[in-house]
Amino acid sequence: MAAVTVAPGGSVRRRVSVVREFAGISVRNRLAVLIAGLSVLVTLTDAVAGGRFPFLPSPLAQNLVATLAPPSLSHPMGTDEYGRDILSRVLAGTMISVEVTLVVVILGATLGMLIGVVAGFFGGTTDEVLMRVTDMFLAFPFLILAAAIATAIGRNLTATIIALTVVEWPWYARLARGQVLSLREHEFVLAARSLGASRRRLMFRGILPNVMPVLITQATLDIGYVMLSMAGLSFLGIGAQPPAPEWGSMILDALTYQPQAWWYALFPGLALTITAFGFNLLGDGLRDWFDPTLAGLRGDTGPAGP
Amino acid sequence: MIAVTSQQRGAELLAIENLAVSFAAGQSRVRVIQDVSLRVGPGMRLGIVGESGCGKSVTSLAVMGLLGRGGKVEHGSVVFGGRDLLALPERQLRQVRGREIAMIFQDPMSSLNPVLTIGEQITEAIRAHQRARRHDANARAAQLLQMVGIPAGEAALRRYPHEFSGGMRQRVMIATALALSPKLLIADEPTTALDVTIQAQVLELMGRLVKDAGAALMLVTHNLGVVAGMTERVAVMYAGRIVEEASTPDLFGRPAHPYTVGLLHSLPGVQTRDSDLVPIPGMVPQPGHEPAGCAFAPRCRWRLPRCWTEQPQLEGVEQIAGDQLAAGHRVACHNPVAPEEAGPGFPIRALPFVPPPPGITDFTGQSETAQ
Repeated sequence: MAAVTVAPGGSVRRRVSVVREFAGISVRNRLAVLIAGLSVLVTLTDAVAGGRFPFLPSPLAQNLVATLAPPSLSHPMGTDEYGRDILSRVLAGTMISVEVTLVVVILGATLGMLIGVVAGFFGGTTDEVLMRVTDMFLAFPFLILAAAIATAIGRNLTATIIALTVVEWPWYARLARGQVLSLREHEFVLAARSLGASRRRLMFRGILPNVMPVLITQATLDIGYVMLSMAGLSFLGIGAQPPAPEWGSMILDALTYQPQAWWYALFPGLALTITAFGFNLLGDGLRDWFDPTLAGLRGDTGPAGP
Repeated sequence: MIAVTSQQRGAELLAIENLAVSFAAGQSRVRVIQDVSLRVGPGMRLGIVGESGCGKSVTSLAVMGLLGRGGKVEHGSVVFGGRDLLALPERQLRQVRGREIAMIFQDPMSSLNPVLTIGEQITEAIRAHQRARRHDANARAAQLLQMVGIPAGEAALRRYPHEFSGGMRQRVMIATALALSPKLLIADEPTTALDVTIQAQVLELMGRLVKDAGAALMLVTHNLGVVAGMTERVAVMYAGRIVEEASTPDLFGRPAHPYTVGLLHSLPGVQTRDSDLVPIPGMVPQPGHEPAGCAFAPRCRWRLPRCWTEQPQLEGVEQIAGDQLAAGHRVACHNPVAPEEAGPGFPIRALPFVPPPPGITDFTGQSETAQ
């Protein structure tokens, strides 16, 4: 008889191992977790404080005596042409960027996943129609299509969110469909059907959980990209409108005062770069975490039994 | 004998009648199984044996209605418990799958969903058919794992398939398949992917559980040794047709089809020396490229001239040999192996030299020796 070694009190062990696994990522990707954590913290503080940070001037407060002041103790990142504190504007910009990006990525990934899974699972005409529509969207240059849609709807953040979602979902649809096509041929799908699983059950309980990790990883990797695209739209004057403190539009405004007021463009740009980079690292970490077959490699759960 | 009479009265659980299945190959369709008729009585164990590609698995998938894209039943019927499964709509067929007929697949590595826990997969099978609360389904799943020899059921339920070895995964598959006490279990090469020592354990377990549950078993395998210990009847398939069918002792005691004799002589035992193994020369013909007559003729040392042109029908052996002992023993062969030839594994009668028709390769080596 095959002996099986399952530790007694498995539930406790499992809970501990989840914590240890998560700790595992943070140790390996300290920077990623630090940046992502900070971004979320800043966003939350901002939301709680109603757009104001403790000990900092309001991001909208003008001070016409100190316009375009270089970094100093009272304004660590300097001021802009209206004398607004760039540090508080950069921090407030984190909230806008993180919020818009998360909404776009979640909407786009969910929509794309549903369309892709349905196309891959049902195949035939359904697949053909859905994928040709997807191709139509993919055939347009990403940013130009987003700009066109945002301009058509209206120049504000809601329009930016809609526009970016519309250009985001086709990538997820393609990815999800490809995953489903390969998963569909796996023996466990046949095995599930032989046990009487319905198509709907098979799709949601059999295939979807296998597609999710890949899409979530892709989504996390996409956060940086979407953040940059959003800043790009604002930079083109389509996204956030003045006086909203958005990184892209701050860089646009700063252009006029280059190269004298170097701090004006540098700090929003730096914030954008670091945040996007941090979320990319986080995506790498999450991919490892989501793949249960890598669990053994982390050394906490080895294969059991003979 | 009792089993045979009850079958004749039509009390069988599963009756496959003249089944033919084709698959799409480009623009045309290729027949992969033809004229397959099989009967499985309640609680009976039937083995289906043959080389890879002979249509064993297709037969079992056709019974489940799981041929997939491109596969099509050309004609025939599959009657299970009085209903023709081939005529059932998908919704009702789903009620049969898992609850009345369950299936175990060859590769336990890939037949479990990698991202669901063992517990989720077993309860999934239960909840697909019964309204069971999660708690009750879990308790049942733990009980099933205990039954297949995986202790600490509760904790094992929370594990993922990759944490289990091949043998344990196949035990999980058996537990899942037997979760709803099906009347028929189809096992498609259940132990081929496992180590020999584990094979024996898993087979013993499967045999015992099937017997305890009073279920019938259809065991699909290329391994005659597995069939010998596990089944009461055996059907031998070659190139999509049943070439011989008999009770297990009968088939091993006096095989009548040259292919069966070949299979038996390809089976090494502990006592066999290399020189005792007689390989079957050549290979299985590609589906769609079989000779007009018997598909085994190019590899057969018993062949007659009519074997090239005339498809042999499955006939009772007693009609050919006049032997009452061989009741229920059927063979599709124009020149069945005589009982005294089965031992040595080659013809001892004087048989005429039969050259192959043009375009057909002769694998027996007769053409060369004759020249």
